[in-house]
Amino acid sequence: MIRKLFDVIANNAVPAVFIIISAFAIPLSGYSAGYLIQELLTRIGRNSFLILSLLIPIMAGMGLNFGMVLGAMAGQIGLLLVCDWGVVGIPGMVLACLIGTPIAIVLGLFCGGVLNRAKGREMVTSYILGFFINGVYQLVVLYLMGWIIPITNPAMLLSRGYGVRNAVSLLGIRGVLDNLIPAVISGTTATQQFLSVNGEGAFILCQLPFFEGSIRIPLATLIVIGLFCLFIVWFRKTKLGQDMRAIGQSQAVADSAGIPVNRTRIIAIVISTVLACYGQIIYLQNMGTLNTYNSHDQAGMFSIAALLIGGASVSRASIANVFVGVILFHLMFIVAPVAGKNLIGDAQIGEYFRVFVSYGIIAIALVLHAWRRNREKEAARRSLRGNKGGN
Amino acid sequence: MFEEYQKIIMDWVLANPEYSVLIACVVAFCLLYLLRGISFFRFFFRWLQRLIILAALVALGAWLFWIGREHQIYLDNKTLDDYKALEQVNVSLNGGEIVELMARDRDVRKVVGPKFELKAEVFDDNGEIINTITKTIEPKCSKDIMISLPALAGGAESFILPSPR
Repeated sequence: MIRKLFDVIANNAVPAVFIIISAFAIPLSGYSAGYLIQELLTRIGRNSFLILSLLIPIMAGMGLNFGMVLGAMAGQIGLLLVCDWGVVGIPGMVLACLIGTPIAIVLGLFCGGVLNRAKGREMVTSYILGFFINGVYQLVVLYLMGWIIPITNPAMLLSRGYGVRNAVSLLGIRGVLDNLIPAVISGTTATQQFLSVNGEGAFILCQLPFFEGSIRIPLATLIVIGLFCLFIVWFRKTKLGQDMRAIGQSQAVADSAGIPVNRTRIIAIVISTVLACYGQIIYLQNMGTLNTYNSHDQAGMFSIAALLIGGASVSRASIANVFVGVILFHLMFIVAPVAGKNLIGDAQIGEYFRVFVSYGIIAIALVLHAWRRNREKEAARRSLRGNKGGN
Repeated sequence: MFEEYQKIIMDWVLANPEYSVLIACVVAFCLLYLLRGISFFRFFFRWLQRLIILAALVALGAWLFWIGREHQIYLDNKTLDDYKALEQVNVSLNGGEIVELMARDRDVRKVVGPKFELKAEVFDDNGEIINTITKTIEPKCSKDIMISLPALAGGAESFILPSPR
């Protein structure tokens, strides 16, 4: 009984810590429920797709795919080209996906090939691979764009005539997916002037009596995320999905059963990289600004941190972990600085605390995973040895 | 001897680039077929499928570029050759916000898509509308164009000018 309780606590330690911290920080921040819900909905729409792209490599036993930054870079190259050509709106976003896809496939094939040569050390390998491809990305964006790859928009180029500026405005595609279906949840007292998104009328999903004003819902983005979740559920039931799960449990057994282990692992990484490419495009259309040389780095670290905070581990992650993680991780982003300011009088303290806790949690999650795996191995060994008191 | 053959081949390739590309594709296809070692029809249809999907994706990309391209439209109310600057002209693109241009004014607006509708109302000195022009204009692939409103009002055929940038 005590052991079971201990297992439950150990399995949910990370989300539990965050829930407790949030329970203290939310009242301290003084934010209204309406504001927090609005911020969380925006951030769920912005980040969920990126985090969902991590699930497939975990299913295939490849751990957390730090190589997702490769896909993010592919998406950014697509966005840079679309931005230069002046293609705006949904067509611009889809075109960026179309351009990013082959780049992401090539990078995914490369990444998968390298990870197959580093079995058992996938996470650190993909992390370092991210740095390596970041160098290639910088070569392309900083030297080849505007010189070999034509960039005609002077607002995007550095003053020397080649290389892309550090910050590129994505005004043409800003919020196009989020505002595709303008929808709001309103309080009963909300007037019509609240119920507009980008100057256009929005339809009211429902009216709630307990708050004033209105909450904008990025409905189209949430629908896309919902469809992606359905894809993952369906994918797990396919032959390829079952193969990946078998490989995730034991590569040796899967190999003996005739499953092409290396090929399946490469497919898992390619799918993850391509989905990360789309995720980064969705993320940046929400932000409206592309930080050319840093956006992809942040994407990888934040997504992995959010997934771990949601209760996932290196070998086990579900769709529920993704949403719990986004909510808890971003709740800390929203409330920690103001809670710190109200508590100590300095917003920086709250921000330092958030960074310390958020990234410390990655370390804790990885240590807990290693400890649990060792314990399971020890238990398996003990069960093979049999009862000492017996014959 | 070898250099002679090389020169003949290079001359032919440069003279017939389209046939050269075709021959290179056929040679690459045959090499791939020999390397894969599967039945010809299976190999052929597999590549045919891939080529069709690739062509469809390229076509989709071209269509998205066509319908999603943003154009900067410079509205110019300056004298052009025999067409004198108009006293006042109100212009709207695709039924959007009205741009009021006095003589020698120039303004810029953005439109999205392969074509747009321009509506111009020309005023006289007393502020009365003397002419209303509605025209569908296709900027096609050019990113920026300039429209000379005096030339448009005067009925000139070449009222689209190159971008001032």
